[in-house]
Amino acid sequence: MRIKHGGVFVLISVFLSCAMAVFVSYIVIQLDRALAAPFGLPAESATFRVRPRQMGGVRGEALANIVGQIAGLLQKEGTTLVYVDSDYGIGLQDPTGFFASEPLAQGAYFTAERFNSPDAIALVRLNSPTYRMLMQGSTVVNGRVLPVQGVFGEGHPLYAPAQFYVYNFMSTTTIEGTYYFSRNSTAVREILTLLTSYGYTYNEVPFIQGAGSLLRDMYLVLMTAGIVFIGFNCFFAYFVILSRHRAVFHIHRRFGATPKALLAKLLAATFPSMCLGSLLGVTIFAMVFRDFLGRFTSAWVPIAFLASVAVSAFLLVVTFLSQRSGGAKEGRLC
Amino acid sequence: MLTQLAFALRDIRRNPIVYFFFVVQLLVPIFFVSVTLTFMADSIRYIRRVHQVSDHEVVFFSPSIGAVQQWRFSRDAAALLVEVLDEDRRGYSYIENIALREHPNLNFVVGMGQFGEFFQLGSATREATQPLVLIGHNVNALEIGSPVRFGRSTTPLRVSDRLPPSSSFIARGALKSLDSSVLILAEAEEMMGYFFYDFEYWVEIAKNTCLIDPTGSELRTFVTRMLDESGMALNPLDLGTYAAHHHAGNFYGILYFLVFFGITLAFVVVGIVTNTLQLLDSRMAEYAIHLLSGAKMSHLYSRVVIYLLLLVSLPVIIVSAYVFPLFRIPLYTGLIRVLPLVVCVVALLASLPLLKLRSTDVVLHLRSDDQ
Repeated sequence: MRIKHGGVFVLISVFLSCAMAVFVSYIVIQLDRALAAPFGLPAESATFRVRPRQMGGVRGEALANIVGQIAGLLQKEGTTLVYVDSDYGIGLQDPTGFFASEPLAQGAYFTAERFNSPDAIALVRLNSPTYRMLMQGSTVVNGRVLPVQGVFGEGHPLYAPAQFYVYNFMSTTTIEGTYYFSRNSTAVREILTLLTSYGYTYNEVPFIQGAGSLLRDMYLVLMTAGIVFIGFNCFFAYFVILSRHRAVFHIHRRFGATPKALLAKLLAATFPSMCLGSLLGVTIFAMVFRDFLGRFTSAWVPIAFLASVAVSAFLLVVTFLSQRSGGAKEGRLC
Repeated sequence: MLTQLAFALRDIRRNPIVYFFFVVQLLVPIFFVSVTLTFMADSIRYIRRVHQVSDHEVVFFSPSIGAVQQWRFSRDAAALLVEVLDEDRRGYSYIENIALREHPNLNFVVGMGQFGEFFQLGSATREATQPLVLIGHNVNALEIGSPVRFGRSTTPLRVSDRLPPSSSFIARGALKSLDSSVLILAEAEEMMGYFFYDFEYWVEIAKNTCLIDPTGSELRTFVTRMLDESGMALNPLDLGTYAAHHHAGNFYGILYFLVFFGITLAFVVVGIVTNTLQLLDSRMAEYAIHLLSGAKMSHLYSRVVIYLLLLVSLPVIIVSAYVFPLFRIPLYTGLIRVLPLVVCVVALLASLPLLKLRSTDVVLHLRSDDQ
């Protein structure tokens, strides 16, 4: 069977696959984020968000005292702490050298003594504003000049888009923020009790968000509605195209073709157009958004292609069945 | 025309589910496409503005949130700002939240230091002793020469010029339009002594200070002195890197959603055209009777156009009622602005169905074997 309008099928598939590429890439990237362990910490890690009960919180010597006690407790139990502060930094207390083996772009990782010293020292994120300052010889952070020990790139587990530098937790000037502990140990409970006694509150947040978090994503809900609309209108377009082939289908039926055989032939005739269109659409999309999506997983590319072909084929089957041309009665032309 | 409107409404009443389904289908992509297009235009303007000043290294500051409680006013901190902005002219600063009693609905922006020169906002005509008052392109409440009472001064300032359209400045890494604002170019010293008390706006001036082409030692000195003299812990951020990261990401992020909802809109347009063609097919006999009863083809065309106008205008009005207030545009003005676009879209949607109607012998359709 020869189907006219092969170009229209290709065109529809190009647009459909572009939309599917956005939809699938969004899901895959969000899922990848939701299921990934923050900062590459082990699965038994725990996350707490800490904030002061009243504006301000603890400062000065009291702050140094709390930070010293937290560092001591973590040291005792060998628990790693990644502390994301309210500004652009990450405080790190790593008594076991959890991140020591991770390669840096330049320089070296903190030595064990650095974690026990209140003197600030930092690792700077490559290509961040702080890194640019470093290149110009003035790494100033939170009003202070910060000595830099190394530079880490995108592949490093401590890489976070909103954070520009990593410093030893002992030198922190604030203790409100998000705490990621490598395990939910007794030391963690003691730290939380300590923070509470100094007027801070905390709440535990899931360490790994899980796939369920996607259901609360407004963009995804709206994009799903968009995909439904696209599917419906694509069905409409296929309906008009297949209407023009109704007589051809009936002639085939007259000569003994079954609806199933007709459908198979229709799919076989349109499949190359669908594949070509989907491939073009996904390729164009991937090329345009190469820089934007480059830092995320590329697993979405084959999934988007396959999903686009599958949706096109499914819509064609539904359209064919809804036309009832395969089941024309004897004695009627159309 | 009223008769055709009644017929178009009857077409909707006969199949309201299809009508509302297409209205909802239009609503979602129109909303997202209009919002993303606005953001896209902002993003492009931002990229252009950053490019214009890319010959200079601009460093702005983000104060440490954790140290807000330690901020304290000191004369030394104010003197440092005067030194950097007025005397050395090593950067610029601005105040955005000044509200004047006589003009409560106008946005006032006060630019200090190199603000006027850096953003090329007419500082050439400025006299050293007098602040320069400029009004944005869309400001109608004031005219050139209008008096503006400013701060504690009893002598009113006079508006000296109108800014060109699309005038803007960069505030903490983001682009701010001056089209609907009154811009006052003044000295930092005047703002912290003559027009206002020194403690009133020093935080704004300090937080919003941007240094232009600072050397490493200048930057270190400024930040360290601000910390020592006011407790304000500043994080320097250079505009070039910030803009490259945040707004290149924003631009592609907006484009990403624009592609999706643009394609959705294209498919909805295809669906509406197809649906209108089906509507014509199902109403051919009725059209034929109308023609035999004295109607003209133009009446049939207008019925189709009115149906499409009703279909398109409802989601446009709903989206406008939500989007225009976001951008402080009155709904009425906004609707007048989008009217030509709606007409074009309706013309586009109606073109194929009308061509089909034109090429069909409608009366002959009554005699068709299908009937």
